[in-house]
Amino acid sequence: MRTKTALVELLKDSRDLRVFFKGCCEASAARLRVQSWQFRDELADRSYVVNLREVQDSVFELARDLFPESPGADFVTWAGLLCGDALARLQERYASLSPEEKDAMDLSGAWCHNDAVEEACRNEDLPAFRAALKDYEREALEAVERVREESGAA
Amino acid sequence: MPPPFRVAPSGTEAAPDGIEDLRDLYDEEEGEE
Repeated sequence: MRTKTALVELLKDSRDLRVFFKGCCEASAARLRVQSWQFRDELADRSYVVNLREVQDSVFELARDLFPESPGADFVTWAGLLCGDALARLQERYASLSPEEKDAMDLSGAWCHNDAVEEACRNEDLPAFRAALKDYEREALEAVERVREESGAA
Repeated sequence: MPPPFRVAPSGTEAAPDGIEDLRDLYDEEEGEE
């Protein structure tokens, strides 16, 4: 059973969770994302154990199916939240570099993933976007480590 | 030449069985409000 199907069954069985899910969708994408752990825990109580990211992707898809006009179904906001997290992690590492290392940093490897990021955005495909963003972040972090090694700071 | 079939976006699951039932439940509950 896929996570989205498991969520459908969960919501069908509980009016309280239906009300909660709808309320999250109507509040904001951030609210729906932040509260995804509650759906994950409810699924786990039914012996369906899945990671939080998969639940987040599934609640987003379900929001688009059931309440497509709600804030919780807004792909751009979801993508922005994921980008914000990735950029915060990159910023933390980037800030540790010296001015010379920052100048020498080569992000061309990360830019190779721009097409995948853009395609995922065009399709409004959150799992694909998450995967492309992860590749981008990995390459960028490797660029940070490379420049540190080359400068002898590592 | 276009592909002979439609390629679904990767990672996106089609609407699962039961979603129409769930939609009906929401519609009923909205009618009660």
